[in-house]
Amino acid sequence: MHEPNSLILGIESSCDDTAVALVARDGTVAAALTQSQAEIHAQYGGVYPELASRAHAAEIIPTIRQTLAQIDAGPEHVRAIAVTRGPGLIGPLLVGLNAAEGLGLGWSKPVVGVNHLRGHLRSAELDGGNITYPAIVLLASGGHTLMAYMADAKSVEILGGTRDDSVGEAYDKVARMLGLGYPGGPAVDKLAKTGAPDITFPRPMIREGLEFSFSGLKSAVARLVEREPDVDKPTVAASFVASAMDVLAAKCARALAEREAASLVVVGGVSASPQLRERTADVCAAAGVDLALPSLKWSTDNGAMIALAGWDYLDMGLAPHLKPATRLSIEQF
Amino acid sequence: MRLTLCIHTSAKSPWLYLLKNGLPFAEAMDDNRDPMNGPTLSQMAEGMLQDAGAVVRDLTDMLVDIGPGRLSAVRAGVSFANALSFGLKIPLTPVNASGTLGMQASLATGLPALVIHKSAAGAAYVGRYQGGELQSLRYGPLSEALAKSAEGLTQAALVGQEADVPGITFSDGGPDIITAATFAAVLAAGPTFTSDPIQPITEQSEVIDG
Ligand SMILES: [Zn+2]
Repeated sequence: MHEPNSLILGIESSCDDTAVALVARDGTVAAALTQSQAEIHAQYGGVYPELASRAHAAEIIPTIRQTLAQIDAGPEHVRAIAVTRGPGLIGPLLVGLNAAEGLGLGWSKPVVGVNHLRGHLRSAELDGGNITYPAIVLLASGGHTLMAYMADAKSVEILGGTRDDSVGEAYDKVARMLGLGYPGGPAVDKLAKTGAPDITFPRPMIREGLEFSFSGLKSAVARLVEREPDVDKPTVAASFVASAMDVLAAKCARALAEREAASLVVVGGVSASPQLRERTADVCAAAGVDLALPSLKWSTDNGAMIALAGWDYLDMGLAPHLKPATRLSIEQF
Repeated sequence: MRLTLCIHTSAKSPWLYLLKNGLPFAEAMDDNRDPMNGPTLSQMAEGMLQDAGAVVRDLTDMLVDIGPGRLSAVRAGVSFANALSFGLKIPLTPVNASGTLGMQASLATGLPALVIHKSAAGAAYVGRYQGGELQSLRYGPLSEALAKSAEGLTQAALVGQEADVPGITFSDGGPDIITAATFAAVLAAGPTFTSDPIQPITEQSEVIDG
């Protein structure tokens, strides 16, 4: 049984997942539940913000109730409520923040607004994971692609972001071109494993710096599929993934060469990609640093990472205003 | 003592009212021009309760205006209300702003009532009520939603704003905003509590594309 005040209730509703978890100070996830909206958004090939807001409004209380029920927990076990304050979609953020506030008021518990990206950083330390510092971070997801440097667990310095699309967006768009549905990442990776990377797509910015650009790669795939509608789809998927992975791996290697680091941390939805896991393992072996990855279930958006980041905010006495911050840098709290 | 927290969501950001034994007792409004920087609902509720000499655990029940109103205020207010009601284990009643005002107007005038709630980008919600019952609720460009809702009418009570529809004589339908008195009237009429999380009205209207 859990001690009184030993868990943080984490709430994540910044995009298309309504997610709740109860997490102990050491990162142990006591309970967690994620209601995916993938089915709702599948017909649009991407997240439809209005429908996302509605689904969050409908699901958030049942998700909280069921997460508590998993371990028979009540307010007495909860030290605080941590909720994503941004970045993300305004409507979904409003639903999560106000639900957290209402619950905090009802339970007389503090409510901490957490930067979703700080949550992703901490996802690698859930359920026994450990990051050694200083660390190079690759955050790759549907909403974000960036490299960062962390001197310690609390300071983050951005080394490079994306100039246009995120890598996750490119995956989703390629999935749509190939008729693979939404979300596209896992489907593209799976199809890629059945083909050979025989088509040479561009590898944007692979030779320069730590910034990313994926729109050129996406457009090259689009042009090919348009020109040759009967092109072998597994070959296209494998070739696209090879390009994307070459770029991500090259940037990781470059960052590790430029900055003194003990580990590479790979987080965000794309960190669930088996291809990215393999490639970054190779990069780390070559550089002689540790690789820190979240387990598959904490790679995509979840409430547990928000709860664990919430513990940091409590420790540091941080209490950002509980209004949605649709744009928020990973360097901010 | 019955202490009822009421959340009004038809303005830019939610307002709160407190009813003591069914009568208006205290209120809290966010007069900040930018709702993204104003006080949060908890801060407003705590301040209002403190001024009223009460604490949150004194609350016995809640009413929430589920719109139609400002989309973000409705979402914020309803999400907050559902969670607070769950956290305190107290009953929550949804108050349909259009319906409450429309039914009041149709009962007071004996006429069918049309209630207009302007929304973003020239769109509006138009509710039609007769004898205390909802006949339709539409969302779309104001003129289209109004014309469709007014079909077959020659006389109606109008709530919300001035409007012109050829062939219809409009009379004043009275108040166009939910007030503490409206909440008190709903409470006096015997509210229908629910144990399920309730949904904003935006999720229930018939949408007219435009
Ligand atoms: Zn994310």
